[in-house]
Amino acid sequence: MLNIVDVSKSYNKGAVKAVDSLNLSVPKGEIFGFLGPNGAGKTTTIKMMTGILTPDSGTISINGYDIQKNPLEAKQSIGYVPDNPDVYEKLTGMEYLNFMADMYRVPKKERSERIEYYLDMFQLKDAAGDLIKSYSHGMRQKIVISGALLHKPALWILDEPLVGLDPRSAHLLKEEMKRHCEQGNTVFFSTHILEVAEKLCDRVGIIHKGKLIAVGTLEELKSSEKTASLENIFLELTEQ
Amino acid sequence: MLLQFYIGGKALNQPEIVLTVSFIAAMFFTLLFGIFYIMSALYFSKDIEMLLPLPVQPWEVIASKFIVVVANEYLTILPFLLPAFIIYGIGEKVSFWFIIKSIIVFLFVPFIPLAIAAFFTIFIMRFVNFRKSKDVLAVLGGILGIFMGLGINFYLQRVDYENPEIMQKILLSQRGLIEYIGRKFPPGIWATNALTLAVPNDLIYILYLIGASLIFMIILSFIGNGLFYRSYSAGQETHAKRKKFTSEEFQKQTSTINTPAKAIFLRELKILLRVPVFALNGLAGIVIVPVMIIFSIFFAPRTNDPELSTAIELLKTKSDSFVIVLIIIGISVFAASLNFVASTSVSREGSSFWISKIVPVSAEEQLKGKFLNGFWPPAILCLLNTVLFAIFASMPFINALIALSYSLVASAAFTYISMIPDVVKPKLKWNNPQEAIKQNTNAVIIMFVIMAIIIALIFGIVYAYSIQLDERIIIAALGGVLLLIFFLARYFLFDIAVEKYKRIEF
Repeated sequence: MLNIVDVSKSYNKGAVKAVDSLNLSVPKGEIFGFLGPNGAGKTTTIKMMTGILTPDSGTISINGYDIQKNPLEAKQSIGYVPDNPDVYEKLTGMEYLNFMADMYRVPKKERSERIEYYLDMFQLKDAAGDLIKSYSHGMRQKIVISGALLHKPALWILDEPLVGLDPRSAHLLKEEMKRHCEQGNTVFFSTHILEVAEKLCDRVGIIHKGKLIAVGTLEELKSSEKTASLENIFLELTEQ
Repeated sequence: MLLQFYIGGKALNQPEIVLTVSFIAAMFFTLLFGIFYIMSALYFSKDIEMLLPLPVQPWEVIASKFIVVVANEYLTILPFLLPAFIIYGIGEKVSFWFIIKSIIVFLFVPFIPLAIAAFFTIFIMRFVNFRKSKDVLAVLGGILGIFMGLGINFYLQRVDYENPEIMQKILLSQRGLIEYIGRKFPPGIWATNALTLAVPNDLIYILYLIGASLIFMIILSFIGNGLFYRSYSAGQETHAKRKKFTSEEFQKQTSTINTPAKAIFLRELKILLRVPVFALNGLAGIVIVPVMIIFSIFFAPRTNDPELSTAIELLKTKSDSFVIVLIIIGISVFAASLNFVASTSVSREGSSFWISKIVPVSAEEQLKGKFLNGFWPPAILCLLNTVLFAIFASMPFINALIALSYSLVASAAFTYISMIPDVVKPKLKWNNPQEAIKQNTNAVIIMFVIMAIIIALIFGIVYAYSIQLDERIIIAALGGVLLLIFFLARYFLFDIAVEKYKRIEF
């Protein structure tokens, strides 16, 4: 589903290497957790996967489509939620969802069903007619998640999706993620909450200073680092 | 035009008139548009929320924001003042001391008009914050302020040629013309006197200007200290009904499918109209300027300007002439040069631009939607212009049709041109909506580019008339040129600039 081959990205004309020769493959049906300290390169990697940034070198393919060469086909397979829910404050929630449905060409019947489903799930039905400007941070996060998933993308790319969500919504989103992968789809998400990664992810990858320093199932990582918890693994690996 | 003021003033032994006119124009322009800038800096800036909890007095916030607005204003008033300084300086062979004084006076020119704009803005925002539709009222308040300013300016600038006492005073008094033109806005006279009088009188007027600027700032700080935080805090309350859709309403809401281009157009339209700063800046220029022109031509009192009266009568008797067609096209393209909607079409997305990057919609399709939103204001204006002239000048239908179609082609071409710089290099990082427009050099650059094209067209037409080319040939040639510009602009936008747009990183 997701193939990242030898991808690098620098800023300030090469002075800052944000991502350094990253190689990663995520198959269908997997929940993959992408971990790393602040400034490690998680968001940069995710932005390259979604086409917001262009890699300096390497290739990224989504569902068989190269994000640089076939961007429209690749993007149709992606549902992306950024870490900061900056959306159009002057649109109502409903207007935003309809806009996203138009962008992803969601048919009328399915659009209606899915909008209702997500508004119900996130308890946003009362607020859908109001401007997004009147929403709290958590509500904005929910409307962005709803907009990203309307078109039933095969690959969910979520950058710290649980931040700002109330416990109920966070639980529901985690359940959705599991259900999504059980149907043969893929979730790629970054998080700082290691307990969530431990419970939810099939595999995790740890990025530090732009390099992927560890990747595998939790059992593989625990046995290789000879430690019991993901937190210890993370702290040991990122101290170096 | 400034040169003509200088030459005319020189003939009356009052060459300083060029400076007075420039100062009045710069201050007036600053006052008119300062309402938007102040409104944006004080009420729509994201950093105010961070300042509110800090142990900082409201007057300190106002003063610092005010200084930032003043600093940004210098680039705007430079085209008004620098040419006048140069013309007067060369013509009068001024000393180095004139240059020093020019710099000092230039620095203080925006203070008083911006302070007045700030009084108006703080008052209007204090009032509208009690209402649900504060954004709409903010826009209406801004427009009211502009039209009030225009009306006042129109009233002040009328010179009663038929009053012998006034004419005697203007012509025979040493600085009669300056004092008459600047009579209702003394800072214009102070600035002129500061530059043109000898020591120590010039220093006195410099002190007047600086002193008055500081007094206005102090009054603003005092008023703002009492009103600003209250009006700002109330303004942050966004009206939300929290009303659930009925089943029928929900079906209706989700039943319309739009093409991506149309969806983008509708998104842009809603945001444009719902953000007061975007609406005022984007639409004010293309509404106000033609209204001013049309008002001047058709509704202004005639007694004060015999030449204008003659021109209007000639216009009516020559209603079948292509000259009226050219005038309509001229007004339309001039308004198109002020089309900030097109020239900030990408910048206005700001921090939400990531959405445009991740959706599976081609860049070309996105630009089509943006073009539609950039084109509708000048298109409506073209229609309005044509209808007004057709009615008041009794134009033949075919001439009106030619005028409308040429205006639309020209407006579309200039909309494409206006979009190009912003598509290539948008200003996406801004704290308040005004920055997306005012601190966006794309909008300013493209305005000058379009002005240059318009001037070239005017020269071409004037030359064609001077060699007595058949009017039909002139009109046909103009149509050909406009179509060429249209296709070239479209090519540059959709074939060249679009490649840069695809590579924008965010």
